[in-house]
Amino acid sequence: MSSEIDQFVQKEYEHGFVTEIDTDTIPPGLNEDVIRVISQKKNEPEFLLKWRLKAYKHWLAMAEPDWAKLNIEPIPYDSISYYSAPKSNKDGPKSLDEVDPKLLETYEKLGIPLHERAALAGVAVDAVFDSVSVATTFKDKLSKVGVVFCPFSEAVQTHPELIQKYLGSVVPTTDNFFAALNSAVFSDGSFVYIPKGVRCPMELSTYFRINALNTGQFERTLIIADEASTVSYLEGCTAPMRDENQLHAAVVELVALDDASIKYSTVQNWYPGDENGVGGIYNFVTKRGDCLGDRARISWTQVETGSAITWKYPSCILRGDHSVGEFYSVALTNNYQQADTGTKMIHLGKNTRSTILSKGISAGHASNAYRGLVKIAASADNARNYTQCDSMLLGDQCGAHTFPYIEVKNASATLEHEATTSRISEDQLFYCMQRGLSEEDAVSMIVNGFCKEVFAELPMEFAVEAGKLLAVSLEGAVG
Amino acid sequence: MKEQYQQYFDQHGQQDMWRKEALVSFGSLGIPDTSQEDWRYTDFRVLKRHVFPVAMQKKSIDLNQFCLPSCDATRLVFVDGFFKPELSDDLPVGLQVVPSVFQDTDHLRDGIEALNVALCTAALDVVLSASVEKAIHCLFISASPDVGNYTQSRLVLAEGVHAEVVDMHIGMPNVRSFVNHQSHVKLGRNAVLQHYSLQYLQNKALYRHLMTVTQQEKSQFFSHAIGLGAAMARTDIVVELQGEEASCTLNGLYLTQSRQHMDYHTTVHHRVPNCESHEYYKGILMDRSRAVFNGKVVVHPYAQKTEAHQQNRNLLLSKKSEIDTKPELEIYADDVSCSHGATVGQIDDNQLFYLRSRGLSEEQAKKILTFSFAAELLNHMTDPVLQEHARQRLLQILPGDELSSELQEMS
Repeated sequence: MSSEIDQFVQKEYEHGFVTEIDTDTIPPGLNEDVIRVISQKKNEPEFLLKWRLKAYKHWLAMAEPDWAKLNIEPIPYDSISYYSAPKSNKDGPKSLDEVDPKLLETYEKLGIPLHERAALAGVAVDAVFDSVSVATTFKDKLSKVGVVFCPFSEAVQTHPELIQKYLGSVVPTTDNFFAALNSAVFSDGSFVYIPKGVRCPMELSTYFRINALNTGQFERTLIIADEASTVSYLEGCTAPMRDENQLHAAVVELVALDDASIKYSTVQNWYPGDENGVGGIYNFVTKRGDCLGDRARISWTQVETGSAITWKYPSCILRGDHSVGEFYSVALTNNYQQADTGTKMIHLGKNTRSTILSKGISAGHASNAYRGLVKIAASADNARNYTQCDSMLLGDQCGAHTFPYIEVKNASATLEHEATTSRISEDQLFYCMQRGLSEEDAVSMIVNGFCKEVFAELPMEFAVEAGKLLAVSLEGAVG
Repeated sequence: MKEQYQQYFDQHGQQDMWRKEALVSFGSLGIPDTSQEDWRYTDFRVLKRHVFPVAMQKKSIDLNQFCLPSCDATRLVFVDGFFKPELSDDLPVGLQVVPSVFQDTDHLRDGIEALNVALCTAALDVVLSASVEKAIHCLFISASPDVGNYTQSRLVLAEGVHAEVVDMHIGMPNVRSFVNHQSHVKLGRNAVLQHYSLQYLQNKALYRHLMTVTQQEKSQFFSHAIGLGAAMARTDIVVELQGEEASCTLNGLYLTQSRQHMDYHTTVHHRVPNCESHEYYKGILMDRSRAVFNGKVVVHPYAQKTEAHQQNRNLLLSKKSEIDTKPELEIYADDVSCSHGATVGQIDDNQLFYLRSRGLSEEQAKKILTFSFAAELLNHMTDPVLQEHARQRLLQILPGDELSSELQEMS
């Protein structure tokens, strides 16, 4: 048994490699000038610069949060470079042919050849390599129905009125330490606008990667679903192998107006550090959706297997009457990985409903915490919440924790919260093995079954990837 | 604030060294505020504005004015924090009343605890080497306005000893006082303790009870906490399971009305393998009241084969009431079976309809349903006299006419 664990522990990170390309990088350190340079490089309008500077001022006065059940090495904010763009000709590539072949090679290695994948899977990929989007596909098809799907910096130029109206409306610059930092220095990200009554004709997808040494990634995503529109957005990531910790502080804002529906799915597989807990990505992300309109619906699905430290709480503000919020999560931690993740469901409107389904799997020396808040405001008549968070422990050195906060200020609310912690029982294993499965396959099967309810929420392409990812991550980790 | 207590302390208090240290700690710790995670829902800022010194006058009390359970027990009466031998039964072997039993000033959690250690006026010290037949019934009466009741109790049960101990807190109506009580329990091998903490204070009282329990092998601890009174009440129970096969059961029922605020924080540490803990708390909230439940179970490394289960159910009867519940699990061992659950809901319309269709008024039906929600926990009380006493108190508080005995029976 222990030899299997050793084998697993020694397993190299599959997606670890570095592509050497020239990058246009600002020297490390952060001050107002750096923010001005970022803003200038992106040719941003005045309001955005002001907004960034306001966020920066606020950030200076804030302290790093320490309430999470995480052990975080001090982050040297002064030695991070806050901007890095792949070297490009001034006007940017016009088609795939113009894209730096080295970049394409990277995607190739990762098993997602951009053009092939786009063509075969019918997915429009807005690939983010480091901080600037280099290729965008299927734009024509989308623009025919009026869908705007473009890099954030482009949207700033083409749709400043939408940016001005909605940027920071869900996650204000003052929200938290990392959101404030992101607001000050964000380099790029994705922007989506779905017009009234439009059902987005394809799944939208973005691949985030971290590549250049010493650059924090500060992505900003804004998705606006206008009345009665529907969109499904996919985000997935893998990152090259690194020895030092890399900070990633993204902000994702979703806005759903009347009758709109947004489904946001994530598969996160960033470099988790080696078997001794050295290196790995710090993933401090603020994700929040605002069901602004009546009958709006926002659904978060995440499969978190990577990163040395995950600090992430995709949340829903259920403002509109009859709005619906959902959170489905699988978080797997191994070796010395730490995850503190969960969700917030803030019920403000009448007859709002939310569902939380969280599955945590902890192995090795890892620590895995679910932290959630369900808040029923006095105005939220007949609110309904169902929460289930299950933890599975593989090995006796790991930890699994649950911190659910429930605050109810309205008597017509109905809430249920359930949590269990267990390990794979000998009986289950024995049953599978006496039917001819190897121990490893049996464990993999049981764990997959454990996560099935969440995987069922993922779009098809992701569900396959997620299942595979889990099986790989669990090899040998039998307790 | 600290100066005021210091002044009082210099003039009247007992001057032991540890008390002085505790008072210094009180100065540095201060009254907890809502920026502290453990106190985020309970704001004791009233303690920052008002000083509650120890009572100066000894008040005489007629016990007949209170509706007390008629238990066949050793009754010990404390008034305004002072022991009243004339109202109490003779102290059996193993029991004594001393000025203080808790003198640890190194690990004080908060200013309220520090204040208790600094100012404690009476402490019941129970060291039992053999089982006692009669239950020990401590009656803490808060009689005078604007005073603090600083009391402690220590219960040490040697190997195999069985005991039942009741802490009942009552008070005079409209008396704003501060009840600051601590109890510390040590259970030896195979010891069994049934502990009742009955908080029936009057509407203006402030209440804090801190309880710590350490358990050795195969010991069993049963806690029955009932909270019906006080304007603001906070209870902390911390259980340390230090011997294998020890088990603890924490049951609680809270009912809040008008603007009451009641807070229960429990922590169970599973430090060794093969222990069990069960926790079941239920709450009924009325009017503009607020209740807080925070149940934490920590399974430490190597505490394998742990079984820990926790439930918190709340019934909201008013639109303006608020419940904040947080069942926590912190687990560092893999071969465990742990669960927790929390629910918040209101009276089921179907059940209401069922009773209405059988001729009951809406008021009666609601009362029956609410009462039966609570009765489940009362039924866990092993002392029938206390159970009946609690039942009657509950029925008095619940709105609506008195239920006929048949209806009581039904629920």
